[in-house]
Amino acid sequence: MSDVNLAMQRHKSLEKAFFGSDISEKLDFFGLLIEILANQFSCDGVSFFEYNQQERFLEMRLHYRRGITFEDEESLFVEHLPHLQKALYEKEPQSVKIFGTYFLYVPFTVRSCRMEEEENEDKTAFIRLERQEKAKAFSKTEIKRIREKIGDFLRNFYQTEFLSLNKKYVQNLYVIKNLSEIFARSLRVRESFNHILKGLQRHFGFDRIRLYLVEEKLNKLQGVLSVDILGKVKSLEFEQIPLEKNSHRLADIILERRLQPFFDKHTQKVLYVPLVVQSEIIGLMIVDNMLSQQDIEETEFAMLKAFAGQIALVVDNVQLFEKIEELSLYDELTNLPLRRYFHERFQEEMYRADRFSQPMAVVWGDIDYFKQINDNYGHQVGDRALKEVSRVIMANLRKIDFPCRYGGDEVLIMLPQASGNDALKFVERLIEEIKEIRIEVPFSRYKYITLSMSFGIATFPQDATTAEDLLQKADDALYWVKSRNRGQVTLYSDIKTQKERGQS
Amino acid sequence: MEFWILSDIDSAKFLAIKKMVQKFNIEYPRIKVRLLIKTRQSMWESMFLYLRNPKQYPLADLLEIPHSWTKVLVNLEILREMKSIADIDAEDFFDFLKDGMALKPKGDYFSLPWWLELYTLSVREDMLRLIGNAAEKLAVWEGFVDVCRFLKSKNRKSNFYPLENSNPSGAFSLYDVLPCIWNRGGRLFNDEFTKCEASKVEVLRGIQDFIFLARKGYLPLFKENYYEEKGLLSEGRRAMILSGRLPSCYRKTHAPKLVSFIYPNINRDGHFASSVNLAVTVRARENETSRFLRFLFLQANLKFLAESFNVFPCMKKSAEYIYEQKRFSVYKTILSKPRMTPDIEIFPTYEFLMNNLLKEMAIKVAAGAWDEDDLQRKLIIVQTEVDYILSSY
Repeated sequence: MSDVNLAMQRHKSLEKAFFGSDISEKLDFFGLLIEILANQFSCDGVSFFEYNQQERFLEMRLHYRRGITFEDEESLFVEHLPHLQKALYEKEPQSVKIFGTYFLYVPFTVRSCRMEEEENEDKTAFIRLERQEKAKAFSKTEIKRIREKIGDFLRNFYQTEFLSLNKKYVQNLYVIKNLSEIFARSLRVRESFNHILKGLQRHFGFDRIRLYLVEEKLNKLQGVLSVDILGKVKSLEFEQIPLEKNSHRLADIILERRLQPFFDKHTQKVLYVPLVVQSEIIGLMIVDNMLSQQDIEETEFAMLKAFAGQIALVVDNVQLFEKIEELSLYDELTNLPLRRYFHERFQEEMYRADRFSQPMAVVWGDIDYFKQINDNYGHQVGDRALKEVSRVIMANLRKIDFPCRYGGDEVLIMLPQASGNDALKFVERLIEEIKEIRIEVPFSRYKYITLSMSFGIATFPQDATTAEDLLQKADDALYWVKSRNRGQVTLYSDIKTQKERGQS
Repeated sequence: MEFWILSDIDSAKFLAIKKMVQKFNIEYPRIKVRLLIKTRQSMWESMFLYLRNPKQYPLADLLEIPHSWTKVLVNLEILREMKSIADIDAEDFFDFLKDGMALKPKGDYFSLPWWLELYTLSVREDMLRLIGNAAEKLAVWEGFVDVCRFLKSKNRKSNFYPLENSNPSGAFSLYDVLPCIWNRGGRLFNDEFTKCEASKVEVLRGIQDFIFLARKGYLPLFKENYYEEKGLLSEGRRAMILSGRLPSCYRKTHAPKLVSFIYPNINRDGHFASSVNLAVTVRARENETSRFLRFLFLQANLKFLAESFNVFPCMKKSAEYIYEQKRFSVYKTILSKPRMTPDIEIFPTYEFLMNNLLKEMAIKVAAGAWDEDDLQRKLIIVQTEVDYILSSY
């Protein structure tokens, strides 16, 4: 088969390669060229070099010797080799004989077809042909024919390269479309961050992508998730970085308000993507190829830069959505769950207690003289009283207990698997601790005020067997306490006994 | 099936493998083995290309890899357990090679050591006579440097260097400088492998020792590569070589006579040795790969491969000649106390970082623009990056 036919055959296989079978086929293209040159011009070795203009080096990519083509890594420093300097300067082939071996260096230009690259410069490459001892030097006619052969191959190469680039652009459009869909779908999903990171990982294939979010109130950067090249997701919740200058390089990025994506100063293998919404950094996404040590490509950088705003908006939306959900479930002042949330849980717990025949207690309490506190010292002091009381309650709860701010200064606490006596002991502890609270009151003859709370307790199944009844009984018990004393607690079963005694 | 092998400075390796494949095809004509020769960099890139897009960049069935790659490739789910495929007992190999096989308690493993390099200093016999009392002088690094200086001053041949550069790129790599780092008492990691020690003064001094050879013109940098065939050693344009391979004179009578010595100064924690292993990928065609692997690990084939490009076999049985013949006594000494690079997951990344740094240094030396502060600064950056990877992988 003639070399032109071979080249055409290879051109077809190369097309296939560029369209997605094997990247090594691309090097094979030049592999075929050096193989043909070696055979046609009786060479002992032929090599393909790329010229590294910055370092002034020829770097070998492929080598043909003894009937085998292989990747190789010989580097030649142009400054030390006058024949190479001349070849580069004159752009003409140069022959040289070193220790009995004839070398012919043939420079040629590989034009870049990439439009998006900033350094869209043509690349210089070399073919080196070798003839060992007792062989002839390369004649002028041979050199002319060698150059023609290289020219033929290059025309073929451009055609294939152009087709492959076209394919790449189409692929990129698909990536943009698919990622946009992923982002759109992620707006209200609980697993949104997972979706976004996995989507990015699937399309870009970085070694790792990590997500951190700024928690302004706590002045920290909170780790969220990490996805590795295998698509494995890990929680980064244990990573909490204080937002203090020089405490951590990620903290510095936030504090220095770097709003645009940027590469690590030492390497093009780590890319920081600040997530910015309305000029505020809400988080940081970090992609890296540290393990593989592959540079993050300029096209990848450009695409991530374009996506950064969209990702930030999705992250912001997800956070807002969660916040709204949270706001509707929790009281902003005390952080206690609200009545609606309590009722949902209360029904579930009642059902569970009934099904598994377990006891349950409900505690209803309110702050004594709360109205007077507000009237005399202002609502700010009243709010602080509520916050302090909630803190004490939260600190004394078991994991299974569930409190709520029922409204105003009223608090409800559900104590699953607790008897009346268990509940009584718990409330007595609360009463003692609440008595210790001191709220400073400015512009008053008292430096501070103290607090007390009254509580009523009802138990399932002794006092009531329905949710509504149980709450009613706890409220009754509280009313009983407040009508007689303050800063006390009583069980509904005790009032019942006292009422019965009173009636008799 | 496809077999990816590592590029080598000596193309005799490829010829030997090609011959073995042809021999295998006589026995198994239906199994076609396609050989692809890749540089370390290109092989490493291929692993990650596969992970990013397995359809577009499929893996080979069988890989030739440095021993230190086994664990990371297992973690990346690229390699499969291969005892069931190879049916070779891990006990057949030298003990110091087992860590690189990612050996499991039940005897399962993920790579098989294929060939071995044992690092020595080899000197032309005629130069030894010139040096006089060479064994003593070459035992320590300072003496070795003096010998380089002496040989350089005595030899008027054009393009003469006392030392041949055995690095295929014409620069120097971590494997070249590592014995010097050990000479200075330096090491790559702390004992627990939780911290990189690249910026320690011992490491800096060790690298400087090697760079000194190039700066003084004792070691050529970035020259056309003659090492392989004609060999400038045989032409008398080089006098010595630091290499893990056996000088060809041990097997070929017409080659110039070289005498091997223990690497100057290495006497602390062992002598540098490294192995190259074969590993089966998760994409391998099991039956074909199994047959080919069993064929490659026949004693005769292991011996043929090792002899063809002057390396050493990894199986105890195939390497018996080292213990039996007096002329291999230097290698016997190395095998009595071998020291390998650590088989930890992040080592390949560390090696690439260091090799990039060392190539940069070599370029600067070649351009006459090298300075110590620059090396120190770059070592600190390497250490920071490695520590970062250690903490997160």
